[in-house]
Amino acid sequence: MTTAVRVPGVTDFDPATALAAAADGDQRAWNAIVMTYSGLVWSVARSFRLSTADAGDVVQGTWLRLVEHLHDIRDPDRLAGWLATTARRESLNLIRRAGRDVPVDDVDGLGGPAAVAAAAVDERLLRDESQRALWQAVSRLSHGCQRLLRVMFADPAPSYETVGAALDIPIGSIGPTRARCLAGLRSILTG
Amino acid sequence: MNDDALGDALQSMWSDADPVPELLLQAGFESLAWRNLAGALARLTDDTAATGRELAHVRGGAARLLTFSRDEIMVVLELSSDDGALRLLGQLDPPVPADATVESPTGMRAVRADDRGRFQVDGLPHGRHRVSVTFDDGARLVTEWFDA
Repeated sequence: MTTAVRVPGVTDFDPATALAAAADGDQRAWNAIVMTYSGLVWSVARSFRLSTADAGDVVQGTWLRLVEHLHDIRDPDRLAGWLATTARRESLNLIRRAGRDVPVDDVDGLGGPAAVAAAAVDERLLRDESQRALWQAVSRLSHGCQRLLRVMFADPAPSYETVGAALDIPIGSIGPTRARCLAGLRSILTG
Repeated sequence: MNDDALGDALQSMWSDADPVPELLLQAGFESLAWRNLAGALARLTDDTAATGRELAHVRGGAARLLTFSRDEIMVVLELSSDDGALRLLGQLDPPVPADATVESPTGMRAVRADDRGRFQVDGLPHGRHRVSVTFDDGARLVTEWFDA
């Protein structure tokens, strides 16, 4: 499964071409990579409930890693997965350095910090009452579900393969977990 | 709401209320400037912090050892905390003199590795760094970025 990537102003984005051009110093190609995947990388960092500053540090660290590996990304079609994996590791490193716990949420089989470090949205930016209700329902889900949904519904939506890389879970478990988390969300919303 | 509609609503919510900060996009664009032009990348092959090992003998607190390798060359960095700042002791293997530069997104510090391949930089800010080494025969390498 591949990620359908659509970015305003960037047509026919091809990861292999963009990586090769960026490795040669093509700023436009690099900017296209950053624009295409920023939403994904940000969502991975924020799925760990990192503050804006910490999530920014993770995103910046992820770009620096990609810059140093521009020449040796083995499978450009899996660039999204590579970035998701890198962002997850950068997030876990940051959490570990800060001395915070990274316990595993056994209910979901998804790892995630239990202690909430930061709000996962800026509530002032919620558009209307239905979004506020949705956000309140999301915040009552397990941490594992919150992580899965945050990454899964990043913009643009990543492939299952990329979600698997972001959360370090088998691809086969994503569909059932997604269905269960959405069912839980729906029952909170209607309950 | 079916799953697809609920998914769309979630995606809109996060786009609205948790967007990627504009400044972060800008910083992302600018990170291409850190492209490694001339040097070969020395990869992190060992990190005592990742395995929970600590070097308790170092004055001023436990130190962390990072080992980077490229071909037959190793760069070993001993990092310790000194009065809130970062102290970096470097050892090149093979032990030869060279120019070493500690780079971070906010600045760089150049030092000379002595005849035994040792160099030291004190008073570094905590954060993200890498070390680039230029040997006297012109060969260059640069370590992966590390956080300390």
